[in-house]
Amino acid sequence: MARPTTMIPIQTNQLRKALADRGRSIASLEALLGVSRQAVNGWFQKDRIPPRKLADIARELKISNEEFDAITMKRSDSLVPLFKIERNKAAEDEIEQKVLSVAKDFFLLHESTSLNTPKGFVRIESDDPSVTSEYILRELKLSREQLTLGSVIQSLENLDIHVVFYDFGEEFVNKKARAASIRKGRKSVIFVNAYEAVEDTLSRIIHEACHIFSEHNEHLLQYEKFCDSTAKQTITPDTYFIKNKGVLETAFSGPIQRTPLLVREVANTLGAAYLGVVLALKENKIISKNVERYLFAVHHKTEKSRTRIIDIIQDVEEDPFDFMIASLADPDRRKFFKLQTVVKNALILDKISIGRAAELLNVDSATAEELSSHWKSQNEK
Amino acid sequence: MEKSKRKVRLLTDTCSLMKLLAAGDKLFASKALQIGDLVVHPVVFNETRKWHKTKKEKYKNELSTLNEVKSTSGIRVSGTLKSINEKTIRLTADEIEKAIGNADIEKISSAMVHGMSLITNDGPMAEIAEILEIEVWTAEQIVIEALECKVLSKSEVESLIKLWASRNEKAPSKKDKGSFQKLGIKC
Repeated sequence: MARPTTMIPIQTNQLRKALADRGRSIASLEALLGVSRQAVNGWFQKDRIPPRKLADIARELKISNEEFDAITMKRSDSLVPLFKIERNKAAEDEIEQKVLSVAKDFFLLHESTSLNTPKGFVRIESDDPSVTSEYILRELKLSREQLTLGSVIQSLENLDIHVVFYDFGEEFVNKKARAASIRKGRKSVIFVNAYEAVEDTLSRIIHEACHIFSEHNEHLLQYEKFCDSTAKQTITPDTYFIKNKGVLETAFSGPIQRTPLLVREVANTLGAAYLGVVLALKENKIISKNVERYLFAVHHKTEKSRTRIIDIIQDVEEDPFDFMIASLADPDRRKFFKLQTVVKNALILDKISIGRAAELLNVDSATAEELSSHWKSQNEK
Repeated sequence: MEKSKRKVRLLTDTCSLMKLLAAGDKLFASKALQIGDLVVHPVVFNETRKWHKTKKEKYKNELSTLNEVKSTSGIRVSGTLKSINEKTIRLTADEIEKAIGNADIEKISSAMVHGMSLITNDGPMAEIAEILEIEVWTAEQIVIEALECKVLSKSEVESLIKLWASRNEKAPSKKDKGSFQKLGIKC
């Protein structure tokens, strides 16, 4: 039995216009493409056309990009990414497009390969970062003491908010685009730049979760500041520093060389980053100017040696096949490999081309092919 | 889809390429195959250069043969045609809910513009290409053709299939297995 022809939706009025602008009739398409009148009439009645025929019309009639966009319907469910960018600059188009294309594939693949039924969340309507922070913790069903990267990622996933770590390339690093969030209906993806330090990641995720829970739908400076404050109040809450002010003041008035160690102890207790704790100590007037300068200097000195996400999700020394198999099987690393897990499922179900899988897994296509065969045979077993 | 006569066939993935190069350079000689010559897309050449050292070692002989095979220059598409083809391919992939990569799009676009067939063992890519009215061949079909036109002997094909299996290459499809069996070749 012949397979039904796959057709794509078009705006027939726009195609009619493009033909008329060139002094052509609909009937002229029969000779141009070597098809029957019945076929051409069918396209115009159904507002759908075989894609190759559309490409042939565009080539033969020298249709412009703008005309082509008008003919092919724009989907209404367009995605809008919100970026956390250093100094609140706008995200470059190139970065935005890259994130959008990964998001589009993520949603498509996730929807067609996943069977989970998420619970959804309640929209937060507050302009107080402390209150919003409490709301977020409640939605995540976590206490402050339970806040870790793993627990937050898992809780967000239960709400159909997925955290994806991805290497967007060197240009992403230079533009200092740290994270992005994209919503589609009740499902969201938080992208974290893989060049971020692991210890900063929790703050980036809470910042993006704040955008999602608050249903922000555009990139405004006021939203960015609000979500920064919310992330800060979630991870390094003023209440902690006020409550422990006496003890902390005593500890930080000791030998200055010990203070970075003390900061790390507080950071470990809170699940916070070194710099976040220093800023909180400064804002709560716990440390002197001298200690503050010293702590910042230590941060600048050690900043480049911090473990980054990319150091976890890529290993240039190990064979990429072995690395990917081991990483996806390792429960400790699994939280960093959400996108790769979705791609794995998509490969098993033949929902993704090997080339696209290779791009998303950041491996060469031969390795993607090997992984595909391996996972398919494992799945069959 | 009925295969048409003498059409250049574009190798679009390293998996198929390595399978075919395992037979040496015989299949790549001009007019060696009846249905059409095999050419390698420049993007595929570049991909092999980026391989990890273990993979380069595994396919040392094939890569050495590949150095003798020329990629097709002037195959890449540019301008409005490129962007319109890309959009068409993306719309097609969206329609059947498949994700396709930028490099794959470029290869399909080249085939569309230059009226070529594709050789790929990648299911989703093959499906998208077929919707776009491009003939699609698998590496196994090329080997069967080579056997039929005596470019490869039966024993050469048998050892080739053994080599693929020993290297854990992607298993032939049911259809291709059936074709081999009809010719008395186990796989």
